Amino acid sequence: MIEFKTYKLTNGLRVIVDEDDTTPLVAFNLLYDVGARDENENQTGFAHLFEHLMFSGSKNVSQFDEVVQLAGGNNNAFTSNDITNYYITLPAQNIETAFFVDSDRMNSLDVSSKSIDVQRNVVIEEFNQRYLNQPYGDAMLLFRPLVYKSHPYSWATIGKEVSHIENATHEDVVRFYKKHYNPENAILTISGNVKAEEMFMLAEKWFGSIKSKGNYKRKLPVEPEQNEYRKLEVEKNVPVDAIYMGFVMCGRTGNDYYAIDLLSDILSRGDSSRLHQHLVKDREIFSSINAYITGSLDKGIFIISGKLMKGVSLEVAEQHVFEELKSIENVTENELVKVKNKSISSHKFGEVSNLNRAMNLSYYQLLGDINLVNRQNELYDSVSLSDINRVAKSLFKKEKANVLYYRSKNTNV
Amino acid sequence: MIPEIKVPSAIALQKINTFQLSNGIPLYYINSSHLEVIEIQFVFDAGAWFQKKALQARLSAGLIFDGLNNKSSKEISEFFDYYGTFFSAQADKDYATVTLYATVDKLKEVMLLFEEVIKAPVYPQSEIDKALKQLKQEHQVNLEKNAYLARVNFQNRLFGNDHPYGKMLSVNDFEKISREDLLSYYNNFFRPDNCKLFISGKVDDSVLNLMNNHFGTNWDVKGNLMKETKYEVNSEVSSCYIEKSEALQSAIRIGGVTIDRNHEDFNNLQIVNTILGGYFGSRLMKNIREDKGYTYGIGSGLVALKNASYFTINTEVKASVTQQAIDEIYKEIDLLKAEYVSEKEINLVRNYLIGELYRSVDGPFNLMEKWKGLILNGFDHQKFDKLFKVLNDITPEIIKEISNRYYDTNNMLELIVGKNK
Repeated sequence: MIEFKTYKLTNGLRVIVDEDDTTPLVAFNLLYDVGARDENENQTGFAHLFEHLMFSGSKNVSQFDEVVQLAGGNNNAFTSNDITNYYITLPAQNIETAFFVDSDRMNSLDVSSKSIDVQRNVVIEEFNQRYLNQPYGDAMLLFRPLVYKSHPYSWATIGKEVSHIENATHEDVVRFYKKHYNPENAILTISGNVKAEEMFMLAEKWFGSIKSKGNYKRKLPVEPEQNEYRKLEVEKNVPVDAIYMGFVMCGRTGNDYYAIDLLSDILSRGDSSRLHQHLVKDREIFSSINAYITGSLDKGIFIISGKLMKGVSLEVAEQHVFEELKSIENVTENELVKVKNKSISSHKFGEVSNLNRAMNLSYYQLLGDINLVNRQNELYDSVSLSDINRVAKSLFKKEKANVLYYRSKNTNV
Repeated sequence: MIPEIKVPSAIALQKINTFQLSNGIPLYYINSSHLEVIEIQFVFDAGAWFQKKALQARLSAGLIFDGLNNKSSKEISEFFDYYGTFFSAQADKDYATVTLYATVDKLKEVMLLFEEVIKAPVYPQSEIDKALKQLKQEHQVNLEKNAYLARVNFQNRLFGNDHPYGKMLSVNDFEKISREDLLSYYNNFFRPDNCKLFISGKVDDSVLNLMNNHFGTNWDVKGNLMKETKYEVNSEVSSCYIEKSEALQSAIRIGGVTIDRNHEDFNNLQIVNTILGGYFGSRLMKNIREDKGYTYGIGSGLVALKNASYFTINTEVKASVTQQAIDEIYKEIDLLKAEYVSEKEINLVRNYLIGELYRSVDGPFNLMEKWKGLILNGFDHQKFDKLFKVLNDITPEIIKEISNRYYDTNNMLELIVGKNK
């Protein structure tokens, strides 16, 4: 159980505090309700590029990182299709420094042309290092547009293509900042050796006078229902074939989310899971295989991906996966109890770190019900065997499948 | 306007508790009674350093959960999974570690099976065959990753191919390993007289008794504990270029063998390393990423293994600026040697490192990792406590002296995997 206190500023900023006197540190986590899904389809990769630019300096803080380091702090950030999340961990006695630097960059970020030029190059190198210069690195960049025909989830957070990042202008950057980086769009969670009342006072002191610069009402195209099997084949310079299969599922707040998550665990969590035992160990179709969900706020994807053993054809592999998906109808109570126990166990381990707790609190607040943070075990526990059967039947239809054959050019090696 | 910064004072390392099992195995533990979880680690002196054949350490550790006399790999994982327990077993260059993560309420249920896994694995041939097939394929994928090639080739040239820290895996190695190799390795190294236990989380007396009941008795050994072999380091210090024709980036590694943890200059060298490339605001990051935009990340590190230490600067840069990036790296090293670092910069790094020390011991799991490192290297809490003093005492003169003494650019190994044009 995480105990927390909440507060809201007049400008809309939500503040959450989780007091913990077992540590000398504090985690300061600021989540902005903006992600890759909020981008223009001709200007993708922007939310992530902007995340980089948030470190360029602001009116009273010319060197963001240095001020944090001087306070004994460590900081970083990440962007997803849904959110951009910034965090600082530092000794509790310097908590006010975190308020200072993060309020300053929310209010008056200072983006010069030079910083844009440099970060553009850095992000392009990130694009190269993580996606283009890695075997199978571009698989999701190819897979997403297969699954999503209208919704902005059709592009990955890094962007559709390098040229979108290359073409980002100073004007674009300022427009994005004004539209999204506002107090009503942000959720601040503080977890550590602090007192809630004092944190609420500091929030008023540093964030209280910040006015919204813009107005963003999210209105995203709705992804139409899929009613045909879709396949894409590519040939790449990789040593073995790989397959990616995806089925659209509900979003994070959908009723069936918990059942579907447990279904992915039944299929591939741990060595005793079905896909691992049947398709890796017993029949040696795959050298590795994974079933996982994207967990996005809007409709997500249930993905099964794996690397094939040499000599196995993609068609045969796909067939085997479909058979496994069908055989869920004989799932046992034992299997369900197993994955529930694993889930409870990971939640307990996950609660040990202050930073993790802070991130989760911000996230559940974003979902609209912060109390969900303490209800996860109960919600997973309430999933029944018939729920599992029902969601499997409705998800895994051939006419709902999206399949990517990622072929190796070197078939004879 | 700017909030006052209070520099955190030195913290003394929180004590670790010790307990000895009936058969002499030392058990080190940290008790955080408000938690519901527990982490149990068995550490054996059984890393790659000790093996006579490639993959011996890795598989003897990695397959320990994959078969008992009366239980198959599937049954074993099924059992642990059912109780929400996670496990891992792996070997690095020096140690083999077998870890169990459990919730306190399920610990008793899984202890008997865990005992059997530690004391009597059988390494079924079918499991070995499957693992080899998978690893071979994984190896082929790794050979396409520039960062992987850079790392293994760097270590190979630094230590030599006959040295356990330098030996590179080759595709033939997968055919040469047998079940006998794993059984004999297990008998020689996975034994109570070669083992330390580290437990953190909710560890009360009932846990200690449980551990003693299962691991403190009836642990018979076969054969003798093997003595260590001595190895000579055969560095090939020069340039090495491995071309990857389709590469968009080049992986660069520059470095060499250096002083070890026991050397009186080691802590100061750690601070110099931080300034050079050990944090986000380092000289290398500020120049090569933040100013030039050549890379997504560049860093430098000191790798202190049990029997050798080396330093390395590594990055993946846009291929067309490979040579420019290398020039800038040397430029930054030369700058550290030629000019005094300002008090302002020293202060920044000092405060940051104090914060890092705080973070490194925050919570029972981090604290245990810190203690594990100290204990395995024969140190006590003084080694940690001393760091605050070293940070306090460092001066521009010391930094200049250490840089000149330990960064000899004429004697560095320089390796590129990618495209030099």
